[in-house]
Amino acid sequence: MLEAGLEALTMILQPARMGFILLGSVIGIVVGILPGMGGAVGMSVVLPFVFGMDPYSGMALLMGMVAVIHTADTFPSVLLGIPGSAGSQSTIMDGYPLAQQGQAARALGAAFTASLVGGLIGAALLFGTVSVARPLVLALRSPELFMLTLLGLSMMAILSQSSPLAGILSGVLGLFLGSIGGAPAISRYRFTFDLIYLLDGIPMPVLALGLFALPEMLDLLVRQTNIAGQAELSGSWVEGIKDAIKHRWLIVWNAILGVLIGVVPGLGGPVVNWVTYGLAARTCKNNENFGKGDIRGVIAPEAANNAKEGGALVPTMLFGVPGSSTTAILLGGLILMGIQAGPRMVSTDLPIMLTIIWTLAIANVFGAVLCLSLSGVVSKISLIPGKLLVPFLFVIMIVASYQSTRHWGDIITFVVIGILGWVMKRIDWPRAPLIIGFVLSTPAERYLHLSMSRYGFEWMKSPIVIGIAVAIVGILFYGSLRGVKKEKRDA
Amino acid sequence: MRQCSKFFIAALMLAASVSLVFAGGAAEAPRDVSPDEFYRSNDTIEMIISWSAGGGTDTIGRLMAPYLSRHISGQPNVQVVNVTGGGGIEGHNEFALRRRADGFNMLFSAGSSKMAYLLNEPGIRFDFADMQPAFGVPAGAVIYSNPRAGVSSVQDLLNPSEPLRFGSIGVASTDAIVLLAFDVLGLDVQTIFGYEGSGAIRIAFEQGEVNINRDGTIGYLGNVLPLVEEGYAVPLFTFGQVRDGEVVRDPAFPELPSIAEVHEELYGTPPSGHTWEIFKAVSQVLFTLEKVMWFQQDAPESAMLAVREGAVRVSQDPDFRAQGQQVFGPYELIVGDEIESAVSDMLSALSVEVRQDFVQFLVDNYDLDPR
Repeated sequence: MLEAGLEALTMILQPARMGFILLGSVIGIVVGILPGMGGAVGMSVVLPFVFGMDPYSGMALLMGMVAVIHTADTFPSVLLGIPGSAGSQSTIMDGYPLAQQGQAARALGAAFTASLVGGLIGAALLFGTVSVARPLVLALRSPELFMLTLLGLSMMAILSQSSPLAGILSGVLGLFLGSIGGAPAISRYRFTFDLIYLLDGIPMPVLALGLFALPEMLDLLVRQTNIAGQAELSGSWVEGIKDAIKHRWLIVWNAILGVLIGVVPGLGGPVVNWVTYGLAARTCKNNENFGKGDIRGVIAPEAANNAKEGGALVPTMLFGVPGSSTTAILLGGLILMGIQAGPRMVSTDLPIMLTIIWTLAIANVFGAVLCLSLSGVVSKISLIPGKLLVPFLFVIMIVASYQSTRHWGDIITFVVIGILGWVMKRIDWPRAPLIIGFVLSTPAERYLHLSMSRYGFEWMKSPIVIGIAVAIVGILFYGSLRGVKKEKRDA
Repeated sequence: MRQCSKFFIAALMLAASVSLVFAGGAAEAPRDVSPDEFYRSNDTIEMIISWSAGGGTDTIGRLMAPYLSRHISGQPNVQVVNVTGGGGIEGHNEFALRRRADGFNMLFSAGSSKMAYLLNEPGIRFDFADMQPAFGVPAGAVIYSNPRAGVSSVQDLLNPSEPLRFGSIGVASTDAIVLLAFDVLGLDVQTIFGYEGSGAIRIAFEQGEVNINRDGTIGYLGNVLPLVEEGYAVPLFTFGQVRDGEVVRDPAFPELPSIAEVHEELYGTPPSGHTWEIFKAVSQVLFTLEKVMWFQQDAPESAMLAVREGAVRVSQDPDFRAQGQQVFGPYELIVGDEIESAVSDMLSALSVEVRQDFVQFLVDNYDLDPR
C-alpha cells in the first residue's frame, strides 16, 4: 500500500500535473470566495476542459478545485457573515462576530490553519482506511442513517440554549420549509401550489444566503458604519495561527469527526458543519462566548469541513454515490475521462484513487498558503463603509441566488427568506436550528420511512441504533448537567 | 428619513440587478439555406440538458458536444446548458415555450422526463409530438439478485428462501417499469420506496436490505460486475430491446436472457396479455430509444438535417465509438432514417391509451395518485 502510494505520488509530481493542481486551487479560491457559489458551479466551469485530458491531469484539476473551495469559502463567512458555500455556514456564528470586533485577520488565520491541518488529516485517514472502508459504509443501513439524522437534529437544541422555545420553533419551521417539494417516499408534492419552481424544493444556497446574508446587509446599512465598527483592525493572521496551534487537539478531534460524518452517504456538507460546531459549543470548557466571537467556534467547523472532503470520497469513489452536487460532477468528469467509480477503485484502479488522495493533500497545502497570504489584505474589506459595500454585495448575492437554479423564483425566495431572517434576527430567534431542520428534513423522513417499511419496529434493536441513541441523550444532557453544576457554583 | 432613503436605494439596486439578470441575448434573422450551409464556425448551438451537471444525461451530452461540433457541417460550437428544476420538467418546458425555434437550441431528453410525460406529472407544458428528432441513444437495464439473500437463479424467483425485496426511488420514476416487469413475471415482490438514488439502492442491495435490483448498463458494468465476480450478485435477465414489437436480447449483454425468455423458462409460454403490452410500450420509450436530441417542430428543417447528418458521422468516428463504449455502453447511436421510425414508434407507444393503462396499473397496485 505504501509503495503504491509513493508510486502515485511520482505520477502527480510532474510539473504539468502540479500546474493543474495549482490552477484548480486558484479556481477553487475564486469560487469559494464568491458567496453562494459552491463547488457545483466551479465544477461546471472546469468540466468542459477536462474532456480529453489524461485521467491523472484531469483529476488534478478537478480535485485541486474541490479541495480548496472549503478553505476559501471562509472569507465571506468570516468577513461578511455570508455563507461562502454549504460547508461554511456555521463558521459565520463566531467568525463574523470576530470580524465585527476588528479581528477578521486573526479569525481567518486560525480558520486557514485549521483547514490545512484538517484537510491533511482527512487525506491521511482516507489513505489509511481506503482499502477497508467499504464495510464501514455497508454497516450503515437505513435505521442507522435515520439515527444519524436524529443526531444532527439534536444539534438544534444545543444551538438554541439561550432561548429554547424560539429555537424549537425555528427548527420546526426549518423542517417545514425542507418538506416543500417532492416527498421522499410517496409520489406526492407538498406545498408546491402548482409552481414548477417549488417541485424540487427551496434550493439550499438560496435559503442560506437569505437567512444569514440579507439581514446582515440591512443592519450594516442601518448602522451606517463598516463591518469592523472601527477604523483600525486589531489582531493579525499570525495571531490566528497561534490560536490554532493552541487548540491543536480541537483540530485533530474535529478533523476525525469530519471524516467520519463525510463517510456517511446522504448526509452532506452542512450537517458536518453544524454538528461539529454544535459539539464544540457544547463540550468546550468556558463556552459562554460561543456565538459571540470565540475563536474555537471558527477552528472546529473549519477543521472538519476540509477533512470531510476526504471522508466523502469513500461513498463517492467506492460506491459511485455522490455525497454532494460537487462530487456528482466529479463522477461525471471521471466518466468522461474513462473512469467508472466503484469497487474497482480499491483493486485495479487503485493508482487513480491514490492519486486523488495525493491531489487532495497537495491542493490543501496550496489553498491554505494562498488564502493565508491573501487574508491580511482581504480582511480590510471589513473597514469599507457599509454604504459602499452593501450595494455591491446585493448585486453579488442576487446573482449568486439566481444562478442556483437560474429561475426567477430564486430571487423571490431569496428576498422572502431574507425578510424572514431579518425578523428572526430582530426578535432574537436563533437561525441555526432553522437551517439544520431544513437540511435534515428530507433525510429524516426518508430513512424513517425506509426503516419502518423494511424492518417494522425490529430496527430499534440494532446495537448501532441503540448506541447512537445513547450518544444523543448523552450530548443533550451533558450540557444541561454542566449548566446545573455551574449555577450551583455561581450561587 | 435617512434610513428610509437607504432602503429605497437598496431596493433600486435590487431591481437593477434583477433586470440585468433577465437581459437576454441578441436575436438573428432565420436562415433559409441548405443543411450544409446552415451553420457557420462562429455559431453556437445550445444543447439544453434538464438535469444538473454530472448526471448520466449530462455526461453523455458533454461527451457528444465536441464530436457534434466537429462533424456538423460548418463546425458550429455545441454548448451544454443545464436548465434544472422540477425533476427535468423545467428544462423541457423552457425549450418548448421560451427558446426560439431558430436551429440554435436543441433539447437532450432522457427516460425520466418521458416517464414524467407518460404519468402526466404536474407542470408539464411540453409535448414530444411538437418536436422533431435529430438522433437518439439507446440504453439497457439488468436485473440482478443477491445470492446470499435467497435468489441465485431465475428459478429461485418463484420460490425464494427470503421474500423478494426491491428498493425504489418512488413509484412515479423510471422504477415503474421494473414494477411492470415483476407483474409480467408474476413475482411476489415487496417494494420499498424512498431511496435517494440508484447508488443508495446499490448499497442497500449489498447490505441485504433489498435483494433484487436493477441497474442501467453503465452502472451495472462499473459497480455490479465486480460484485458478480466476487459472488455477491447474480445477473438474472435484461429488459432487452423492442424490435418490431418483439423483445430481443440487449446487445450490451448478449449472454443474458431477456425478460421474454425468462417468462418462457418459468411458465413454458411467451409472455402475453395486457400488462405485457404496456411493458413493451414503456420499454420502447425508456430503453430502446432512451435519449433523443430534439428540435422544435417549427425550427428550420435544414438545421435539424445538418445535425442529423452530423450525428451519422459522429456514430462512425472511431474515437467516439471508443469513448461512447465507456460512457453509455456498447450501443449504436440511432441516426439517419432510423430515428424517424424509432420516434414514431415511441410516440405511438406514448399514446393516450397506453398512458391511461399504465397510470391505472400504478394506481391499482402501488397507490399512485389518480390523475
